[in-house]
Amino acid sequence: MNFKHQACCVALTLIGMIPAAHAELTIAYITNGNTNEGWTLINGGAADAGKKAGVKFIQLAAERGELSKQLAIVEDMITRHVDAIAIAPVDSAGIAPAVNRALAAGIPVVAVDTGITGAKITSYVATDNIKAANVQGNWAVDQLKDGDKVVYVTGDQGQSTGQERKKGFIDALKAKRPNVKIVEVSTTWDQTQAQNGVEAALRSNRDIKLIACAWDGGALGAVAAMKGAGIKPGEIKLAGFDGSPGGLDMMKNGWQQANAAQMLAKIGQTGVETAIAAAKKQKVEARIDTGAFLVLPSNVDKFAKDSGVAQFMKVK
Amino acid sequence: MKTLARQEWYGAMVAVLVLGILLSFASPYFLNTRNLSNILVQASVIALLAGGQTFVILTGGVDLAVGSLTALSGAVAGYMMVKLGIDPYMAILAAFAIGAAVGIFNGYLVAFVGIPSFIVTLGGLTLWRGLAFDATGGFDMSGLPDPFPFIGYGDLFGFLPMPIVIMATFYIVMSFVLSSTKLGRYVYAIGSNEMGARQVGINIRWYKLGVYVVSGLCCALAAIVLIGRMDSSSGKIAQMFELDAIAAVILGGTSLFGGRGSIIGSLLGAILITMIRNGMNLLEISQFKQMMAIGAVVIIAVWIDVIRRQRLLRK
Repeated sequence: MNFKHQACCVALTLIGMIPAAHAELTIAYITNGNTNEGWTLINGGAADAGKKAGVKFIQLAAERGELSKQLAIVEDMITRHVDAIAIAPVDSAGIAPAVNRALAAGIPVVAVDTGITGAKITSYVATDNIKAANVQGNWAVDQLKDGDKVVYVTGDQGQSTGQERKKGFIDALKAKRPNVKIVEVSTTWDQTQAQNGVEAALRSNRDIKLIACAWDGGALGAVAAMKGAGIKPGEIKLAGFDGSPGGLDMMKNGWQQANAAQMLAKIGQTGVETAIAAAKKQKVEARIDTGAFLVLPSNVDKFAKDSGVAQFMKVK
Repeated sequence: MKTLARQEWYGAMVAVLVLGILLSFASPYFLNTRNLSNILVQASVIALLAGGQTFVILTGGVDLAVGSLTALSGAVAGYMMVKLGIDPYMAILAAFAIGAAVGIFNGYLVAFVGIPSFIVTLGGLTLWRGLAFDATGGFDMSGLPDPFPFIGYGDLFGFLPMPIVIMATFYIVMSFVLSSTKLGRYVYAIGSNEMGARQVGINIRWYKLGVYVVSGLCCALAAIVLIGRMDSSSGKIAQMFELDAIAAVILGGTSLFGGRGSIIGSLLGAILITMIRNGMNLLEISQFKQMMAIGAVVIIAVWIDVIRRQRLLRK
């Protein structure tokens, strides 16, 4: 065994994987390397769109969610002369230098789910967080009387997603119920922070009517806190955000009464479709909202089935 | 003078050439100036870390904290420039100061206190990463001032990418240090026979401390190139880079047991790892298979090292 053999082994493996003959257009979809359920759905939607359109569809991921690896993949795809790139950036700002080089090489770039700052990208396809959080806030309006007390579990406030979800919820709620008292639990998308914060909020406030969360992980933390405080499912209403398998499980168990669900598969699908359209030199919108859906106990089963979330749920 | 085939880096060079030839046939996009220069640019950060790592491994130690230290230097430099508005050259100086200080800390614990390098740097792996997040408040710093965009993706004389220029200069200097200075020669002496080195009167403690300082300074340099390339910085950069850096050194023919190896091999090792990734990207092979391929190649390289060492011992 020596280096020559080793190199040959690697090379033979590589040759075995040479792609089939060229299709007309080549589209690269570069993910952030996340392998959780949400991203499995987004990536699945993207792959479906690539397959249906009959283009050559390349899907690559940043190893371990490492930005420098994603930079290298973008550079390699420029070398590969792909016709368009759809990308879920590991980091909104950090990917910009490579994206700018792709744009300079005449390759359209579509950001999927997460935006890109510092580059004039072709299009940005994602849930409009403010609108989706409005849906969550409007549901809360119907559950509350003016003057009631509400807990809001935030996402990271150093990030646009976290800021927008909070603003969307509070603006919608305050528009109709101006005197609602909002107890804020600040987190950086951390479930334990959410649990600790909600525990503290429940201890110091006896009369909380509703808890709304910026993401379903926060709702999981809130449920743990409520269990710890001896509160029964439904005693305090809970609104989640994401439509994740864990979130819908909570709804089936009676803990969650509403969820502003993102259309995860649609984000990936629309992202790739937009990239294909851009590759065909068609005009595309600079910002595409894939919408949100208010999941309630009455429609949770249908939503779970249609969106593909059901396959990841524990409670059937 | 050893013949070519007896050089430690011979295997790495053959592997780079063979893989290069095979990839040229496998992908029509591989063999062109642009892609080759791309590979060198992409290899630069790992190559800089591998350079420092070579010194450590030659003494029989290992530095597992290089990724985290790169993040610490880079995050603090970014924070100083973007959040505090401090002059970028001061930030560069600070990055090197951090690299040197952590190097002294590691070196002191290994050489003077006698804690195994594996333990000291394993602790450092999370210690420095934690500090990188803590010191910068977990913020992402983007839009770095000059000269960072130039360092990261500028071209010297309009055609030579700066990361390649920095990497080449670095390797010329490091080759000189290793072959023609006391530090370089003593590094080999300590790695091949520490007791013997002590008996001939080499102050091994100071030289051992020295190699960790070299590694720390390399992390700072790597951080400067890396944050330039990303035009941004944060505490989460350079995750697990220690694995790539150590792999590059091992692939380059430097023995994990110390005492044998070369700096040029580490450069070839870094290029080899990057070529594998680049080739697999061009051939559209998923990141999971890429991780498996790199892991397998590293195990094979260590295997070869062990066999080589057993043969040497038998002689």
